[in-house]
Amino acid sequence: MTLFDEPNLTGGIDDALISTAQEVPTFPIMILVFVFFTILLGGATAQKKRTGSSDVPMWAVLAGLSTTFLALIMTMGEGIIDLATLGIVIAVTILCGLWFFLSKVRGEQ
Amino acid sequence: MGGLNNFVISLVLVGLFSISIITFGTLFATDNDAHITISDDPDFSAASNELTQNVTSFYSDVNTSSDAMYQSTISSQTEATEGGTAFKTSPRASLALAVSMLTLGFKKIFGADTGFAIFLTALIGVLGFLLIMYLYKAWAGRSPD
Repeated sequence: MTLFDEPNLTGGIDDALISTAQEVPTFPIMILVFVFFTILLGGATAQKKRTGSSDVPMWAVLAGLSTTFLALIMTMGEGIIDLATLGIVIAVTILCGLWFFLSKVRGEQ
Repeated sequence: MGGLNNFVISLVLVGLFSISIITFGTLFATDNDAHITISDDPDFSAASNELTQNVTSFYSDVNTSSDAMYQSTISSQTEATEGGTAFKTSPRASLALAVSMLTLGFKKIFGADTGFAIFLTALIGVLGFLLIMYLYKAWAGRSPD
């Protein structure tokens, strides 16, 4: 018994990606979540290690923008992500932007 | 939270950020013939239009405030002139210089007529807002916020 039918790996990486997404619809979403939290946690942790403090809202914006661009690339093929996923990604990015811009106090860059 | 300048500019930039993300997503789908486009979601289209109207309103409000500022007077004090003419003459020319530079840069980078045109309007509005605040501070001798 297999979890899902293996994709056709001889058709190119895009074909493999689309085949996997069709078999496991949550696969592209998990990739987006992985990218978001890797950049958010990795960036904030690395900055704190180097400078002693971390600008979490800034890393949230960077993670959101990176995820948005990745999601936009995924919209070019049919069947990878749907409109609801793209909408949620963009909404999260906008909320991260709201957090970032309102997190700055007077004189802080 | 910082002062009034900080707060207003933060909110304007949040609006521009949101407009830019939605517009970029829409134009990306159009340019690349994407199967899924964010413009198919009516909520995002409505939000983008609403934010654009808000930023445009900010620009017109700043213009109204600027006119009110130029027509206002302060009662004669030892540290402030009543009309404030000396402080109200040159800054508008300075703003015009900044607007000319912004317009040139914007046209060369984004073209004359694009979906990002609201940026220039909002940036000019922010510059005008800052101008009013600093002008008042120079004239009246106290911070407006």
